Amino acid sequence: MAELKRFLVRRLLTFIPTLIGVTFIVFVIAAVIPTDPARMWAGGEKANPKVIEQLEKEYHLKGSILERYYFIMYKLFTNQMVSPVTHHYIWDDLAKRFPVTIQLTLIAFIYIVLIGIPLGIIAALKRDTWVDTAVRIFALIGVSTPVFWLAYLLIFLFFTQLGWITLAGTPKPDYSITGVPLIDSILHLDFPMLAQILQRYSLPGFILGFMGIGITARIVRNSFLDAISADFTEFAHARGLKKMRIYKHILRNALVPVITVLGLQFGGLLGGAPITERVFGLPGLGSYMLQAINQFDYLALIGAVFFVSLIYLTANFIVDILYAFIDPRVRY
Amino acid sequence: MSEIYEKKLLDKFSDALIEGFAKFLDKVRPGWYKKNKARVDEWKLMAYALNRSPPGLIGLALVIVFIVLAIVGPYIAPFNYDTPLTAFDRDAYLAPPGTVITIPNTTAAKFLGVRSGNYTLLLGSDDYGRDLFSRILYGARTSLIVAIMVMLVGPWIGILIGLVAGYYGGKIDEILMRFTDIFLAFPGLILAIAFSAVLPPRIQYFLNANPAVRQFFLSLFSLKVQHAGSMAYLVSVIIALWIVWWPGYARLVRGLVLSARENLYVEAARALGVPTRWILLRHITPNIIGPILVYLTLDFGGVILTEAGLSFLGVGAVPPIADWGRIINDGSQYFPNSWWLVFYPGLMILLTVLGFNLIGDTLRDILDPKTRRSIEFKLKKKKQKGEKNEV
Repeated sequence: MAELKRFLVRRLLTFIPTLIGVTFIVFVIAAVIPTDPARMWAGGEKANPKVIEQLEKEYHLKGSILERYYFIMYKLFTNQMVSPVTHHYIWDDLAKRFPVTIQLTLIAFIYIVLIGIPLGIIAALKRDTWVDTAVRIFALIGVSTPVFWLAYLLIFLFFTQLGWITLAGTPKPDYSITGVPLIDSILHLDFPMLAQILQRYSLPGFILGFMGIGITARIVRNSFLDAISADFTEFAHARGLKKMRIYKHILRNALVPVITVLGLQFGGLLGGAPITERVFGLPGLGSYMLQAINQFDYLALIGAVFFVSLIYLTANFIVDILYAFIDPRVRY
Repeated sequence: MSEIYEKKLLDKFSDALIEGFAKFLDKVRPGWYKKNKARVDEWKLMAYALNRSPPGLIGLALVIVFIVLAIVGPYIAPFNYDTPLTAFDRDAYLAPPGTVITIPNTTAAKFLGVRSGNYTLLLGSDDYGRDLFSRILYGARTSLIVAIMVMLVGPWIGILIGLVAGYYGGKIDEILMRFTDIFLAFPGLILAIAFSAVLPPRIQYFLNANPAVRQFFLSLFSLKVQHAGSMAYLVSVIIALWIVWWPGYARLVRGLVLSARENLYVEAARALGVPTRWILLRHITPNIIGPILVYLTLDFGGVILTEAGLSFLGVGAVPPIADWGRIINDGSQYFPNSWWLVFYPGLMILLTVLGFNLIGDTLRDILDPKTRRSIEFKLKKKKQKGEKNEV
């Protein structure tokens, strides 16, 4: 376990400079903000000069670069950043919207795991047949489809024609355990609530996961083929193991790279959230960003960008640690 | 090489193209052809493999259609991208595909540069009465230019960083890779959204200060002068995509260089005292160019898709610029009654991106020397069998 500890320490040490770098980029976004944000916040062309001056002072807009950097980071880290447009604490707004996005991502993940991995395994087992080709074409279509377009087509089918889904509101139970309605309702065995949530989120989740399904299938296929032709499989055959036992060996080894891919998919899902949320009118992090852009609320925008990158960094961190637990070779 | 398989029409065509190119190179640099005979044969084998791969050919066809549309589109479009046809005929408001409208012979028509007569709106029109077919043609131009502009810069920053980091290793590698990690800590689209949202005012300022650059971009995008302000948003998308599009390449190229530099020929070159940049350019780059080319092709489609996504979100192209993502964004409020405003632009995006992905996927096979050897081997075996049967 000693080397595992060393790995964790080393991984933590690279985590910190990356985080500092991230704050720097967030600051660059804030620094290229259009020339006179205070005037926009104060109400536009005919804004009261006094209000403008006060805003400039409050948000250190005229200060030196270092001063502005310190101001933004200090306020963000201590949750004192108040949006000049909505007058809300930015961090609180983000925390309110986070469950929607995480719910969406969870459902997308379920689709990816339930469809992508089996498809990849089938393609590997039926290698070089029409099944394999079909999975390949499906993966290519998956990465080529503009998901917002697909979303509208599916809305037409499932909402307008069949009426299976709902497109308004965000179902939320009265009780709260984890803060994520989907998990809460499962823990409470509240099935009517769960049905409501699924009615609202299943199609957006599918749209968000659509690109990932094909990519995952392709990668599972390739890593499965590698495992099938690996030495240990041949050795297992030579030992005369039963077929099921051999498959178990293959599965364990083939799924190691898949974890990395799923971790990487997470970033794609977070990035894809704005589009899905825009189409389905879900009040998540992505729509918060778009709303901030439309209101020239650049501090909220950088707050959201920083928040998302923090989630992503943490997710990657967890994936790396998981990976080190599963695969001892990584620890060095 | 050229005798081991039976040549079909397509093979003859591609062979002629390759021969022509080789002859051209021979003229530029005398003696090239003789020296590189093997390389030309290799190219022919690649063409052979491509000609027998239906997905590759379909992809090639889709991409050629897209590029041709993007180049000639603005010239063959029946109307301009911002001509409001509702000014002439009320039927042009959200007209379904196939609507016939009449344009009277008035001064307004002359002013807007529209000739009078009956027109059939092939793909319908939008809420300003703008012809969707014309806008899709202009949109092809927008997509192509943005994609080319992004691919000309973004990946190359990454490739350069990857080359340097991979070859020198040590501290340089560590610093460059930490720098790359920082950019990889953001989901790409999120960073692109943020930058394309905050950049436009500065770009507008820059374009106004440099009329030559502005004119250059206007003619590239085939836009009217009065829309230069809207064009700044497209230019900011390009810059935002430069920022997010390089880290992947830095990682990829670094990995490729790390494995390539362990090869004996690199060691031999170093032992002979070949300068570093010569080793990088002549010994390492040619051996890693295959995977890079594949990724460049795939990402060409990726850029088009991302740009459409940004425009759909409202941070890319702004009205009245014709852009496929933007058309869907504006048309989505009339969905599903005016379905054509969403359906056709989306179909264009799908077909175009699919084309690039199909080519990229085929290139992955073709550029792999192992695949080519196995093809050659199979062909030779087949031929031997055929000869035996004849005897």
